[in-house]
Amino acid sequence: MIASLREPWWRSVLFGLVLTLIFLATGVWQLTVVSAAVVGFLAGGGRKGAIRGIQATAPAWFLWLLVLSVIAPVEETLILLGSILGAGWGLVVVLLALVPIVLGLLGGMSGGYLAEVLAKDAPKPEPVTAADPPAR
Amino acid sequence: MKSPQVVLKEIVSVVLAVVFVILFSIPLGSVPPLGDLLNPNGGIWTLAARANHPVLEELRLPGLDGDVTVLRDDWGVPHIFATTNHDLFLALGYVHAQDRMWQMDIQYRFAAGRLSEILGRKYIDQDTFMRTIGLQSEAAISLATLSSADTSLQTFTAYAAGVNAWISQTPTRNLPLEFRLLDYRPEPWTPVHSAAEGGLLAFSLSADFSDIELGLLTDGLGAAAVDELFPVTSPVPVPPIVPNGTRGGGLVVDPVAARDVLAKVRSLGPLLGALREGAGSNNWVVAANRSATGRPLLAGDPHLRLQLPAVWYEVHLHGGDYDVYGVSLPGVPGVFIGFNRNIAWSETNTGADVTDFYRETVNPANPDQYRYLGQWRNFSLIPERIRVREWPDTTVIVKKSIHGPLVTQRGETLAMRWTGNGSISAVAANLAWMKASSWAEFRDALRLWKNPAQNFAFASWGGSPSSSTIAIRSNGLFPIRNNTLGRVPLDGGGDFEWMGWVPFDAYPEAVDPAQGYLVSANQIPAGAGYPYYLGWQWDPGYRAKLINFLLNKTIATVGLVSRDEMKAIQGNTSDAAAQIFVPFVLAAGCTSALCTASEQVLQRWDFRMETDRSGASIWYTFFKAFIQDTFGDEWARANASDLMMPYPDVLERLVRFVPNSPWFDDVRTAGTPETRDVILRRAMETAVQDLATRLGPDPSQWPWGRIHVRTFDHLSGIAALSRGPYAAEGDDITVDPAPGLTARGGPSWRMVVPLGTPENASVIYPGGQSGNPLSPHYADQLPLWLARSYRDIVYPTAASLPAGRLESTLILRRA
Repeated sequence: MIASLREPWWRSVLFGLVLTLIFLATGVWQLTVVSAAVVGFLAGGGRKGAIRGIQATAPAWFLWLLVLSVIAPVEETLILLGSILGAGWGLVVVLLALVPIVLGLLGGMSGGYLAEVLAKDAPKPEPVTAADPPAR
Repeated sequence: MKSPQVVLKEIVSVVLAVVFVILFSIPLGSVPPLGDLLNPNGGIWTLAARANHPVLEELRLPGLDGDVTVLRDDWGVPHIFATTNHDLFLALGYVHAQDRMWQMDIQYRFAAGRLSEILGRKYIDQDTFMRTIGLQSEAAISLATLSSADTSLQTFTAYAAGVNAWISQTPTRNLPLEFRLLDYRPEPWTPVHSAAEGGLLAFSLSADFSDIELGLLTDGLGAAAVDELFPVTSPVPVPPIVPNGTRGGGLVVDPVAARDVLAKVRSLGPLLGALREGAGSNNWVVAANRSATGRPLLAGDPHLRLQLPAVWYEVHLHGGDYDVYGVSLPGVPGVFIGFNRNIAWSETNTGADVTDFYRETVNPANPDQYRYLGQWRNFSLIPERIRVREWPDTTVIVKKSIHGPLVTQRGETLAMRWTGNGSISAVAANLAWMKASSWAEFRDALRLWKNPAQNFAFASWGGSPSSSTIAIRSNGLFPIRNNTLGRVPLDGGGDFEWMGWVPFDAYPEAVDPAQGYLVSANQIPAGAGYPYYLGWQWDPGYRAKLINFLLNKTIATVGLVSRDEMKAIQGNTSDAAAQIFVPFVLAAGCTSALCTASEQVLQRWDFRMETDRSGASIWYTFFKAFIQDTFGDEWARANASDLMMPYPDVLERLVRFVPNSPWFDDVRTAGTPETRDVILRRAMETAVQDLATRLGPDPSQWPWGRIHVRTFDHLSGIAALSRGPYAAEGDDITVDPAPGLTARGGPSWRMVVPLGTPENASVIYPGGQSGNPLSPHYADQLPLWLARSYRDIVYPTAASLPAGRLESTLILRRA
């Protein structure tokens, strides 16, 4: 099961996206970091996990807003919040991107490095000797 | 064995992940929790999702007697159809909360002295002062005297149940923007909340600190000067009926104490200003035989702070004993200004003198005692605990003498006596008059109205002109004092007490006069010969004179007054003072070419304060300079430059009848005393130089709209939620008022009601029904209001709205 989510790489990202959307739907945005960690774990390494973590979280946040914008004036909210914060809508976009990216990055790293920590050491290859018969 | 480096990386990344989750979940300084604010499901985006009420929604509410239908029309105005009074007010509480919960909460917190709880320690002083005034504690005391069968209490309770139903049904993520930004939830609403909010309205309209200012001016300028410049009646000075109650020998008021009180009042800021600023108003009624409709007409436009969310919330209540339409105050049950099928009413502030300050003599041996009737008495000591956000709680001791709370103990001890506390009486009156069908019933309801004293304009239609009535009545508690008018702080020893109240049947009142109309615009309520002292801070009367003139002229020329004429009068911008003063300005002449060119503009001006009139700019700037040039020198000498100056009618008297008045003399100069014309010329030169600096050298290019604007500030002060500035017509004394160069006050509601066909009423207010800045009804009425246009209402007799006017339906069912 885990192996089937690992390859190809986008499967784990898709799985993470779905997980993020489920967490958002339940109203617990903090668990976004967990979905990133899961994806990071599946990636098997810290650096790769960080990238996959971001891929699994930030798009989910934006996707949600994109769908919401079909039925509600999301862009007006963006502008309004930008005005309230005093630095324009650009700052809101930056903050909006920052939160899931940071959560995805750190969650993914956590999962990825955990996978590294838990990984069994690979067996050292035996030295090739002349006595071995050639492969047929 | 794993590399320690990998383990370390794992630990660091886990710790950082946890830290950032926490950082995104907590407020950082004034920044709300970013994760909560920005998460796509439940963050600020829910504002957008909740910008409109659902087209059809059905909810179950505990405590309802039966089903309630709320139809919102295309302006977001709810038409509430219920079967009992209880359900009607419960539903009103619910819709108030739906649309204005944060406004209700913040206004209540201001009234109760509880802003520190959400805004932090910088509000402790303000909270302390409001606790001292005691709106909340007095509300609680008054409510405690009511039995469970009392209609007011039942109404308050039903209303609170409606508010609480909304609060309990609304998760944090769906709360209004301001709660999200400030990161708190509304607490359960109680009758005390509503009563305290009602008290705030009374406080802002009738608690008057001018006694303190007059005290300082009396000490600085002398009692005779104050009596001349701040007369009891306008415009001719009237000697006091009885001497003011000054303590022998010393100052009328200790300057340290006086300045302390004034500073406290001035620091109350925009939330008090929300109601106080521009607190004039107009209302008038035209009798059936003078009306183009053949039935009475009523016009009303209360002048209050222009703010967002607006002061008022428009509503139609149908069911039980009521079928009433008009404006309510969010947080308080009832329609304060409006109409039903038979009557219409509107209010202007009377401005009566219902506040006095007493100088308490404190026992030198015991600071908790004061002298009264020759004996030492104990102050009441009331501990008030103030909770403060991110700061330790503070406990203050509110002291009260027999006269009221001590508003200062610096310099000397001043107690404040005011008729306003216990203002739940206002709701009792309101509940009674909303269902009145005749003048007799309405007048009877006014027996319950204590404060703030208001001028009630009234009209009724009973089916024929002979059974219709128009009336105006100044109504509220008016104290009768012993040995004093109470215009300055009084000695608290017992010689200058309130002896009782002006009898209800002696209140100023006019019913069905021969002239066929009645007008109030905050002017003096009663003419010469009225036996009681009611106050002195009457409007100078320019608005009242103009409205009277316009109605009289229309009747004389056309014969009948139309609804359109009523609207035109509400939007009138003629400056009646300018018509009197400008000829004197022109006659005084000029000393510069710029002044001469400006006077040519003034000569062509039609006295209207419209945005395109350059004459308006010249007049207004001149008049401010003229007041300053006339009185500023004496005020500066008396160290009173921040205190009020005489009203224009006083200056008018000097200009017209006393051209050599010593007030025109500039006390800073030696030699020949200045006279009226010297000061007129000087003020004119000052004004035109000022305008040339700001607007360029051509006086014909100084339109009023370039220097005069209206702004509509949000209650939070957040600019992004505010509107304006907009170039604005009007000035301080026009019928359509816009005081100051940046006007924050004005007509908070314009209403013209044709009695007999109230469904044809025309209304408008500056703002909109919703407190949600993303709602289409946040400020949708503002453009019409700015254009001095009106909306047609719908006033259905059954639970259905005309085609195309229904926006949403809310059905509340008993849980």
